[in-house]
Amino acid sequence: MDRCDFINPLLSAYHDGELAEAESTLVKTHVVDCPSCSQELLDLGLVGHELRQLLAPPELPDFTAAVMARLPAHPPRRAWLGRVRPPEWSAGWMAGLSFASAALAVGAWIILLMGGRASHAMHATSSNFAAAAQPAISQPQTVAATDQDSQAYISRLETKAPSVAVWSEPENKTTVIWLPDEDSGDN
Amino acid sequence: MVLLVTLAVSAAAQHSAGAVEVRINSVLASDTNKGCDASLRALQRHLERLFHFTTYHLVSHQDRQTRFGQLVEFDLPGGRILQIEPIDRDGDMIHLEVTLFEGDQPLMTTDFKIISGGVLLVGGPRYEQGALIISIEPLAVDEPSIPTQPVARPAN
Repeated sequence: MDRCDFINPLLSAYHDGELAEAESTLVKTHVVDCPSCSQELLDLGLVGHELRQLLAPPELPDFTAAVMARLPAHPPRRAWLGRVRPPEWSAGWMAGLSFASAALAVGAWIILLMGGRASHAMHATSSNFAAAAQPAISQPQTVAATDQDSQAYISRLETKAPSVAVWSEPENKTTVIWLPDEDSGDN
Repeated sequence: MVLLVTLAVSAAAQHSAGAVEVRINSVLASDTNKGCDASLRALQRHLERLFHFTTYHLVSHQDRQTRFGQLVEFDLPGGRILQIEPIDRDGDMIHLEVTLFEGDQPLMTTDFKIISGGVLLVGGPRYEQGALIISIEPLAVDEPSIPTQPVARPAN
């Protein structure tokens, strides 16, 4: 299994500052030496920046006044529900409708963008992982391989390490338990 | 009337496949660009596929034979101790309990089953300028079945 396959799913959380210290150090150390993951991290930052710019409402200082000025020239219209809304509600409706449309477009873009990342992350974490990185467990937990032909089966794992990663390579008959050091985080 | 009573003590006390050979390699993994020790040739492709360090140095190799239910202890670099107890065997799968101590404190305890000849790598603890990776390879040793109690003969 490629080390990037392990680090890549953590990049988004790392960018948002949501990782524990040990995991954060692990990602930071890897990214320094890996151009591919480093670029991925940069892209995450750019996406966030662009989204924030898109979501920022435009400045329309005269918008309300302009709309209100036009209202008395038109008779009140029935809404599609059959109720007549007072004029002062119209400006709010239009602003809300505009924002909703923009949010819908941005949301659709996010779904499209994240769809590719999610499938990659899920592929990376599927059969090669017996368990993802977990916080230190004081209670015994069962970590079982689901593959009927698995060559390793961990029925109990207790550790004082701040996080633990477990993965296996059945084709090489190898299973790995990684316990990052508390002080350093990882290598 | 002669009552012939034949007693036979069966092979209840026979031992079969009761030995396990455990091979331990303590490897220092670091990013000092010195490559992989020649003595780690068997493990090299595992290490390079699983980790992305630039140096793998074999610190110690230990090989011991023990029996199911018997604990064996290995001294590891950095004042660590590895205790391994084979529990039982299910076909080719060997059930082991492994505890890694840092000083007198247990750092990790695991119960796991692994195929005979498979490798469990436990890594992460700091050692010198890198991290320690311990490879644990249990190998079932098949022994011939030996009856341990005599068969009782009938009394005439």
